[in-house]
Amino acid sequence: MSEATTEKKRLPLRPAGFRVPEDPKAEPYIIAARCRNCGQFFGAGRVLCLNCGKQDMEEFAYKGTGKLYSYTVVHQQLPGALVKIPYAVAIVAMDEGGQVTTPITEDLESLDVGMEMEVYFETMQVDAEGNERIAYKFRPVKKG
Amino acid sequence: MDTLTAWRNMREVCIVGVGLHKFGRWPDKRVEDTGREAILAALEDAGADFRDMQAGFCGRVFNPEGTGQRVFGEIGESGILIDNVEKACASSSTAVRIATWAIGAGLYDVCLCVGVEKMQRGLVGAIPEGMESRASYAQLMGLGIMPAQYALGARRHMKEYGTTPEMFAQVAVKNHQNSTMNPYAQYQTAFTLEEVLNVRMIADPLTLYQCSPTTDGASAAVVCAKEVAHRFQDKPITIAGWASGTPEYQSVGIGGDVSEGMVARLADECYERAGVGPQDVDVAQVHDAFSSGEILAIEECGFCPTGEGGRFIWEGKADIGGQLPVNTDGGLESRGHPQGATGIAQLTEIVRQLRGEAGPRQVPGNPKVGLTHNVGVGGCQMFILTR
Repeated sequence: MSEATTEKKRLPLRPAGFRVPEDPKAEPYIIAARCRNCGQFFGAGRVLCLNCGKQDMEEFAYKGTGKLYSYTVVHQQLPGALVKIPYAVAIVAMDEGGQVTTPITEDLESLDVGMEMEVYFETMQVDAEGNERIAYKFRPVKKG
Repeated sequence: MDTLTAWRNMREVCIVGVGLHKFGRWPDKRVEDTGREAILAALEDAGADFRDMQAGFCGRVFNPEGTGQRVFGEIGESGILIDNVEKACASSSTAVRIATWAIGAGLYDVCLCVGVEKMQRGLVGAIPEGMESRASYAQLMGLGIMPAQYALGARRHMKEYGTTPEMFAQVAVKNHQNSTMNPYAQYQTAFTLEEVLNVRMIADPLTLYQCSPTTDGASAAVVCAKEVAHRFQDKPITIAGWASGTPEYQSVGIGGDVSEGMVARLADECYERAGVGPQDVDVAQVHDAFSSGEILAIEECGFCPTGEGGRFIWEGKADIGGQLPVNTDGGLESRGHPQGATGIAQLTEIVRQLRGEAGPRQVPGNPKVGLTHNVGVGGCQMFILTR
């Protein structure tokens, strides 16, 4: 009896507004729904533009950088969450437009409203089939 | 016909009875039990009988369909209209607004409103045990917890206006102090500023004592047309204005309970309908689910200029003896926050203040105009009450 070799894949932790390319060398990226009519940005999956009302959205790939709109360092562990305290919950205003809500788990003491942030992806779990389940986080852009 | 003109053409509506069930943890009481006690207290306060009530409105969030029917059913089954009303933490204030519209329009003369809740302990938004496979991305990644939302608002306020963690903490000091004089409050312990700052941090800058608890409790109000109020109460309190709404679209923002202009817009509508301005308000109840909520609300209600809310608190202007007392009964932080019951609890305190019946919490100087501000997951319900 032959055993099928299962390829271990990178998959999203849950479907959540980011794409994980099949090519293991390609970087994942966060996506937005962008209105072709007026150019406003929304979370992926939005169908009607809240700004102009048109139903003409396209999927937009963020380059992954933005400014820290606000943050808070959380010290009470949410039971069942994979992210452990202390971590920050933050909103990043993306450079192209729109925003992303994200955890931050690096350089918490350095956080400041307005600072430049960049996305990265991390394996949060390995599932029963051995696939890596990944999620996005943001960290301050290192200067110099 | 615009809403303002329509409101001015409506009959005058007032609150003639209020009642509470003490807020706290009541594991052996159902909402039917706490609701019954609050209703009986409100009916007694109004000198009214359940058979005088022509319609009933029940605010509740986590309790299921039919809650109002069962709660009112503890008192009587008189065949009246009974609606269940939900606007998250603003459910029972919304119930009062619906009754106000019905009475103002001349459909009914007397209505009974109740707010009830029975809640689980712990963070709202936690993944129930054994449900990890059903957990959402936001839950797994530790996002979307209510304290975080208010903390995000606090952080921007600190960056933009120099508000300090001590100012947010002082809100909790004031409200916990006020609740020592409120026998219906969940907590009746005063804390020093140092105690509030040094207790366990939840989501910076908000420490444990700056967060409202989960609570069981109930509140009730008898609402009627002014022209029949003399049957019930010699100190009817008029519902002079109201406003309700949701946030308008903005491309970047914190959203949810954290108003970035919504409350200011609704406050303007409320003042206009009541024919008063922020300078006329003598006492206020605002939605301090977390301490930062009070500072942002004080500004958006027009009690002080934008950015000055922290200093307003710090300088004692919102204390009971101050320029504009806020949350005289302890607010959500200390009185407690049974989500369905909070709205009418806010109205109850304003009614007592305007009647001069708030005892040791009484705002001096014969207050005549009160404001309530109640927020629920992006929605808001505000009132102006007058004597």
